[in-house]
This record gives sequence, C-alpha cells and structure tokens, in this order.
Amino acid sequence: MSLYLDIGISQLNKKGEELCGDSIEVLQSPDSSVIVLADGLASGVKANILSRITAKTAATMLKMGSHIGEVIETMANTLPVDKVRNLAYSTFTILQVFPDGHSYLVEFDNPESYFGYRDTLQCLRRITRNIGGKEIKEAHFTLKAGHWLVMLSDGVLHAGMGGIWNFGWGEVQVGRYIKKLASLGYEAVDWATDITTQCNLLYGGKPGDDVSIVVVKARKARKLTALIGPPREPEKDTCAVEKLVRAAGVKVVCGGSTSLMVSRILNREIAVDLESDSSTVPPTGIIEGIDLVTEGAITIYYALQHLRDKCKLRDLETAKDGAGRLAAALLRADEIHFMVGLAINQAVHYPGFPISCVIKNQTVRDIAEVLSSLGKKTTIEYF
Amino acid sequence: MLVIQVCVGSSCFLRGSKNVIAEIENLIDHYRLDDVVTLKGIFCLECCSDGVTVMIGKKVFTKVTKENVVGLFENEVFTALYGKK
Repeated sequence: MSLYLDIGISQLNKKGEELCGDSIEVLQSPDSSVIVLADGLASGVKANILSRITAKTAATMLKMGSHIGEVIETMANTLPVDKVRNLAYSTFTILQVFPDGHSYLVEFDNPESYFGYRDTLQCLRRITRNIGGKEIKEAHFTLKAGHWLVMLSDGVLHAGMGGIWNFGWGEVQVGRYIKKLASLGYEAVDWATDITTQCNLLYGGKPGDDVSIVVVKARKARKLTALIGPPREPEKDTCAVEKLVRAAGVKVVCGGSTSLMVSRILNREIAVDLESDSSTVPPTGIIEGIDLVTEGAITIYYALQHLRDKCKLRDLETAKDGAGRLAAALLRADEIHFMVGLAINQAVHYPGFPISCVIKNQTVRDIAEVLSSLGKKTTIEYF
Repeated sequence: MLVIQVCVGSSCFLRGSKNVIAEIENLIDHYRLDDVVTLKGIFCLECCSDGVTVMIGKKVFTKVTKENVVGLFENEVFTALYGKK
C-alpha cells in the first residue's frame, strides 16, 4: 500500500507586514518527504529572510541525507546576525517521512506539534537532546493511514493575547480545536485554513504575530485513471479499455468517440445525462462501471480553467457539469494516470472549433503540470 | 416508442446541439407527443464534420440546425409514427 501525505498550508502575516516571518518548505522525493516550518526572529523582511534560509537549508540538507546535527551546526554558522539583537536565530519544526511510513520529527523552540489518529489526539514521546548548546526535541514514530500531524508557529498559541484573552488561545484550547476539526474529515488544506481563520478572528483581524499552520495527513493513496481519446490504431482499442477497467481506483472516460469505444468493447449501454450540461460545457454520460464519462476537448479545457483558478475541492464538490466534476475528481485523487489516445479527432475539422480545444493533448499536459504542482503524482501514457 | 437522439459530442455541441434539443423539446410539447417520442442525448454519431447530427429511429440526419429542425421533425417524426405526414 502506498502512503500518501496530504499536506495543507495556511499562513497569516502580522498586521502591517507585507511578508510573513515564518517560512514553510516542502520537499518531496522518492526517498523521503521533508517538511520544514521555520519562524524567524522578529517580523517582516528580516524574519522572512532568516526563516526562509533556515527552511530551505534544513529541507535540502536532510533530503540529501545529512544528520540533524550537521544541519543545526550549518545554520548556526551561516545565518546572518541581527545587528540590533546581535542574534542569528530562527526556530523550526522539521518532519521527515520515509516511504514505509517511518517518520522523524525534530522541534527547536517552536510549539510542540499536535499528533493524532483519526479523531483522537495522541501524545508523541519526545527525547530532548543538546546539540551545540541548543536544546532540540526529537521523536521517531511510524505514520500509518489515518495519522495526522499539525505543525504550527507560536503565533497560533498567542492568538487573542492582549485582546479577548490575557494569554492567548493556548496549547490546550488549540489542541481541543484541532481534535474537533479532525473529526470532520476535511482535506488538509481546508483544515489549515480553518485554523488560521480562527486565529484571525481571535486576533480581531489584526494578527499580533505571524501565524503558520502545516497539516500533514497520511492516507492510502487515492488513484484515478483517465482515458482520453481512442488509440491511434483501432486494434489497440480493446487493450486500452481493458487497461482502464483493470486500473485501481476512480475511472474516467473523456471524449464522445472514446466513450462510444468503451461502451462498444464493454458491451454496456451509454446514456447521456442531459440535465448535466451548462451553457459552455457539454453534458456528461453514464456507463456502468465507469465513475465519470464526459465529452472530450471542451470539457478538458474548462477543467483546466477550474484548476488554474485555484478552485478548492470544497467549492467544486457540488458541481454538476462535466468540467467541474472532472476537476473535482482530479483534485480528490493523489495519483493520476492519463491514458491519451492519439486517434485523429474528426471534430477539429469544424472551422468554429476553438483553438484552445484543438490542442487537447497539450491541455492534458497542462492539467498534469498543475496537478504535479499540487503535489500529486501524475503520469501520462500515449498510445 | 420513437427515439430521437441528438449528438452532444464536441463538434455538435459547438454547432449548437443545445438549441436543437430545446427546439425538439418544444415540438414534442407542441404536438403532445411525449407519450410516443423519447428524446435522448448521444455522445457521438461519428459524423463530426457534418453536425449537428440527429438520429430519428434508425435514420441519421446531418447538418441539422434549430431553424431546419422544425421541417425535419414534421416530416420524419410523423412519417415514422404514422407512415405518412
């Protein structure tokens, strides 16, 4: 079973600041995933530079296989020293997760991360160690599907301080809030946004400190396979359809002639759902055993627009048209495989056919690019 | 039951199959044929360069527009249903 990390990030800037003094770095490679949250001394541009260097250095060094001791030593020697405070300082939380789920958490002067399983809050056993005069807390544990970890900067715990509360939101209350969120089954990004929204409320819309949240949720990878266009050689039709049917997870078919081919080979009837169209996107279809059947070029083009507009899954969840549903299905998936057939599309001979739809295969590549940038594993196969 | 299928594939959709569907719905209403005629969408009738494509019973008609669909409907549907116009 492949473990997927659903990573959600949300930040607030201290009032009046253009830059956030906290930095978050996520580096994913086949060997491990490294997530760093660093909080630089002071606020604004100075803090931003400090935290950014810290996050980038730590993530890159760990990814390359350095030991945490070396990372801390490097940072102590290289961080620029603040002239006013005569200090070079940035707190950090680092999480490194290996493909088998084995994980390493190290915290230096940041609030303790919250760890849990499904809707329970759990305690991580941490060991304190002294490296070069700096006290760091470490934990080794195994992430399984259902586990989650919330990393935060101190701006979260201080929310409300001096305003509605004397001492801010505080560790215990934040823990309760996170536990409540955990039971709601949100995506990581919605979870993170919810917490920063709450912080902003407590700060009365004027955050007294930078606020950063990283939510990491481990789950079984959700797979999606999409068949787009019939193969160049008709002899390969059966092979393509069989591959789609055998694929694990969600199955999608895009394209009029493609869905006809699927219906012919599977010998299952195809129905068109005339209620599902909008003025711009053609209707969707229904084939037994296929999760989503849509028209091709136009639907794909509008799905790309949805993804480029940074639409949230929550907003697309209720979409009825093909493009919205396709975008939602893609956002819901973690590992996406596009099977692109290269048969010539007769529809493009129509002079009124928009250029953006003619270059369908390019659109698929653009979609794959957007999905990859969202941290999803995306592959394209042509046949 | 007579089945009318209107292609809603990429090419036909862009050439206005939505309007053709709306017009046929009106005609079915107008002649009160909803108990003998079913209107459906179909993904592709493989006449992409000559859309909008409409299939009435087993006969395929191409280059249908919302203007000429009235004549087509009155000819073909009544012929198919009653043997003559």
